[in-house]
Amino acid sequence: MSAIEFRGVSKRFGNFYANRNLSFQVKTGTIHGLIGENGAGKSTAMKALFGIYPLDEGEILVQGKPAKIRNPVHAMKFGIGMVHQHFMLAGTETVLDNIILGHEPGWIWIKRDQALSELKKISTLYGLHFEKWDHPVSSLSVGEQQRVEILKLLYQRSDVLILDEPTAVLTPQEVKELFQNLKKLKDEGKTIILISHKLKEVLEFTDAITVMRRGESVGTKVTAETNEDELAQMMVGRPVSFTYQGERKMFANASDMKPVVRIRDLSVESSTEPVKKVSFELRPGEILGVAGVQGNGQSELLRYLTDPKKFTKSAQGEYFFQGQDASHLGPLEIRAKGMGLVPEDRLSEGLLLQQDMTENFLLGQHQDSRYQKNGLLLRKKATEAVNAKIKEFDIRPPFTTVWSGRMSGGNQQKLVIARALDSNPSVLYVAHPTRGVDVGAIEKIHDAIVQERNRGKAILLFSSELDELMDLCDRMLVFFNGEIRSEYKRSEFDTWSIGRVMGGGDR
Amino acid sequence: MKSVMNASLKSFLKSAAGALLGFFIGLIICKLAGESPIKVLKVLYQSSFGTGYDFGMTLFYTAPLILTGLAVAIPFKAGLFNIGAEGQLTIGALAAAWAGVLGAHLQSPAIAIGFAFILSFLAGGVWGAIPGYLKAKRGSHEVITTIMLNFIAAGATAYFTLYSIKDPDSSQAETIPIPPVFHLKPFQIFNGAPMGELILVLIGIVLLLHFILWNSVWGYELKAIGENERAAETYGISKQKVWLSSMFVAGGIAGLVGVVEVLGNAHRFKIGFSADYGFVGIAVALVARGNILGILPSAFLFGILQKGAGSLDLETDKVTRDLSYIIQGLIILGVASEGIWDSLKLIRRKKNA
Amino acid sequence: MKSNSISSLRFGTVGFASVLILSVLASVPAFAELKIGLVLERSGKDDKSFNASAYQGVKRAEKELGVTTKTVEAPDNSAYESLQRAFAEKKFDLIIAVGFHQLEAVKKNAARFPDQKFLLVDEDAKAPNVRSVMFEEHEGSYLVGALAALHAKGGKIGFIGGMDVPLIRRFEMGYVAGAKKINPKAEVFSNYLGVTGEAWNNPPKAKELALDQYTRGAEVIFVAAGNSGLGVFDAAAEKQKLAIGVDSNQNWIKPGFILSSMLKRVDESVFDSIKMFKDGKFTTGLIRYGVKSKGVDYALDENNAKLVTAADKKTLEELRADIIKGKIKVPDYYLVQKRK
Repeated sequence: MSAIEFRGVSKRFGNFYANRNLSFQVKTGTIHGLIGENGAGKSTAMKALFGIYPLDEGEILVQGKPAKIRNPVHAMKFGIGMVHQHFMLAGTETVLDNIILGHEPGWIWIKRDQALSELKKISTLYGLHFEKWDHPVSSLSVGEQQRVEILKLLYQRSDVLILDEPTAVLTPQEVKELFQNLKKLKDEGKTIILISHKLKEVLEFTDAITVMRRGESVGTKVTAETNEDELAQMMVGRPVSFTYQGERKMFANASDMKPVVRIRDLSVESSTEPVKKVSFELRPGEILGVAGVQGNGQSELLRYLTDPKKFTKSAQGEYFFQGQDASHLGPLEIRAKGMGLVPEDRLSEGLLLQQDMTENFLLGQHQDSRYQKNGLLLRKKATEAVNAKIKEFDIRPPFTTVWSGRMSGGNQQKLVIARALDSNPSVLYVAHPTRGVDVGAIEKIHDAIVQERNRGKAILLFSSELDELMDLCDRMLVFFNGEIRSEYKRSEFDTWSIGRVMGGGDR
Repeated sequence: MKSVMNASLKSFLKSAAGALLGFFIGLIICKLAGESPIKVLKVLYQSSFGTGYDFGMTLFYTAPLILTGLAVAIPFKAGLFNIGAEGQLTIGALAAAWAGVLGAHLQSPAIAIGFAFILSFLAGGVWGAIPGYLKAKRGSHEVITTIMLNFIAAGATAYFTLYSIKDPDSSQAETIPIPPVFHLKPFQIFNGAPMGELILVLIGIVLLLHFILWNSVWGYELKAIGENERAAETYGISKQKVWLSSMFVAGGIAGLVGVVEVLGNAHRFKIGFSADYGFVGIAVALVARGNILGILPSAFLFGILQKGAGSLDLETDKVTRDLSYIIQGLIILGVASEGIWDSLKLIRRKKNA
Repeated sequence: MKSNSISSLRFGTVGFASVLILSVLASVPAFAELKIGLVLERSGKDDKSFNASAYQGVKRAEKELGVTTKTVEAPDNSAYESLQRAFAEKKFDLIIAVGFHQLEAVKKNAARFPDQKFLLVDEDAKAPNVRSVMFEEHEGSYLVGALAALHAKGGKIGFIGGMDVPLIRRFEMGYVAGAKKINPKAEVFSNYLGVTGEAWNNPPKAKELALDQYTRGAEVIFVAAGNSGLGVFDAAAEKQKLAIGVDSNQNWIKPGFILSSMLKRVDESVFDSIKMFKDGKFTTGLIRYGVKSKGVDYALDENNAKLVTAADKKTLEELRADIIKGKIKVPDYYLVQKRK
């Protein structure tokens, strides 16, 4: 018996098919993986199931019966619930209120006691241990917030749970815990659809996997009968390597070279997560990784490094860039001294989504004497430069007039990286370079980063993907609670050890 | 570049279609009120193009709207909503009248008029920069501060008009007249309508601003902050600088309405001279969809309607000046509701599915 | 409306034809109706005050004198000139411009159309083809000021003005002088609602100011603030005190609490002018309506018959006589201003 079945589902945006003749089945009481590159149509399919997009063709069956789902509330009536990638929780409200929102018991006054006792029953039944019912959601860790989202679905009596990229924000330990919990739900008869692009965890925790490419289903495999290579090949249509295979130039004397960035006893006050007494040095020809669960001070560190001027009142400590005190400089000044930046979130920090590639390429370079003269922009020169970058980085579509908001995540990121490298900086601050980027682009981006290292650039790499850091870095700093808890040399890299430190434990 | 032009052309056409739709609905309302739509169209045409005087008057109404439309559109590009053009133009107009007092000894028209231009621009600019500064330094929302400053401008100019440079020979609330050397000469063909070369200067200002916003580093920074504040800041663009400068320029341009009114028309500052130019400017900018060149046709359209408001009252039995305002409102709705087209398409598709 | 006169200027033959028709019409007395064009201020014919009064005068003329009238309300303060001009080009016989805002426009059009007759209310155009009508508001205010002082045993009265403009200052100055005439120690509280057009249309604020003045001891308040006056009347009823209205007879609004109204007979002046025009007695130049012609006056009717005593009336009529004789010189803000 299938909990969910897609039958020839198509969804068009204009002439573009986000889903084309998509068919697959999800068996009741299983964990079903849905994988594919970015833009393969996974999210569109799930949004169609959740009633957000109307179907253009085909039908969706729920428990064997055709279902015309009109909207998310309607989807909940069919027992379908979704945990979005960005949680839909009200941070200042309590856990309990967040869970019962929209399904409050009671007519005039909310019967919170009744809701609470029911929730306690649910959490015992499914083995989801939880106690902080009356805490505000904002005080919870990311992992706990995710559990609140899952509890919310259970409270709404969802039978089919859709989880969109649930592990992106979790430590390896939290990931493990999540999947233990999902397994308990499965054992209680729930059906779980897991959207992911991480092949390892899909292989480890699911029962069956549907691979999507270009809006279509390439095939559904029983997990036990497939492997990483096969899935990856299905996803991209060609063999892919997962570890960086390119040449890695050795800098035997790296540790003797003069550091280009030196941070000593840096503290940054912040309303979110402060940085506490951090010291490190960054040398030419090395990739220094910054690992840690999101929200442990890495973002604040990066923001300080690119714009210390903004923090003159709230930061203490030394920041030397190319041997000079940089603690009073703004972004353009540091950039002029040789800094290139790939910001944490390209959509909110890196791009002007309703501007074309040339305009985006100019961002941060608009005062560079190569692209402006007497206060007037030299757009032609910029467009020529963008055209060169399009060739070099294989950016698609290859037209400078395309709005960056209409490009895929991978191509957006290539543009951001191309821009960062354009001034030939000696120091690169790179954050989450492959977040939400498809497999093909990941290769290209990793290659670019290592090439820069091989040319003697100093690279500080922030990432929440431990695999990525282990693959690329020469050294790694592990952040927890605003501090550098530990430093690993490449020879010492170990997933479980680093994961423990990321979670606040010992090496 | 080509696609940018295409995009703005497309947006202009969409806007024009919306405006036409609104206008069409307005005509239906006329019909319901018992007046022939053909007659209404005729009256509007006659009232704006009928004679040289009519056309001159239409341009006279268009001129301030060009300026206030710009004063709204420019900060809008930087993500600011300037509701304060009314106050800025009031201050600018008082400054123009004051220029006549300060420059009473001037002999050369060029110097006198240039002086009034600069004073109006600076006065309006400073008035506009205040909310820009407050936003940059204190985070005060510009919508609130600009509205407040409108009231303060009305009060302050009334004070100066009544107690500092009041015309002692007049029983009205108006300043002493500016010397003839400051007067702008109207075109002869306009047969008495107070509009001359100034309209060409204003068109020049629009073209210049279009060029600056598109080609200058300043314009780039403005648009970057407006589109994505966080990204622009990450890449070293100071939003404080952008807010302050864009509001200064906007206020200054609104202030130039003072030149249109004081140097071109009344030759003095009169309390309450503005036909809500500052607020209609919001509609002008909206219909132009923030496109700087689009300000010209948009302001002209509203100029026609403003001029036509009185003529409709005069020439028809059933339709009063209020209809003109209804049509204005419908045009704004027609343009603003462009999104309706998309949702209509969606509903149709849903039905078919 | 016969809208062909504008186009006749541009199309010679059509113009010639219509001129022919017009002259034929003009030669037949039975069909020669007088055409009166009325240009109102921005606030329009529903302002319950000045423009409304002019509109009533015109409507009365239409009914009683059989003239044809057309009324337009200016959409903004720059429209007066073109509206008057349109009437002139349509060969209206008399164009009536109401409100001091129209002064400049009347001056220009009077020069442009020297054969056209105009009536300007509330300002002096100083042109040979314009009849300018002005009201001696200070004289009427003087009378109601005296009346207010007669009813203020504690010697405290109030004045609330709309927009702070010289015209309203003129009301205030006459009012204060009248009160001091009766009671030299009279204390007058004075407030203005604002400096923008909004001041004419803000009853809540007027009420607040009135309540404040009553609390401070004022027993009578004279309000010259257009629509805002309604707030003062409310306050008077609430505090069981007295108020004085303005422009038209407002005694009926809160009977028993409105001592009187300072009348400004715009309707009379407009009607009289049209009548004179019809009878061929139209004169140009400045006509002042004062207490003598009762163009400004205090209102008496059944609503305030109990409030205004015979003794009051006697005092006021004596004052009126003295003003007419010149024994009393009521201070005029306009002249005081000029002297400064």
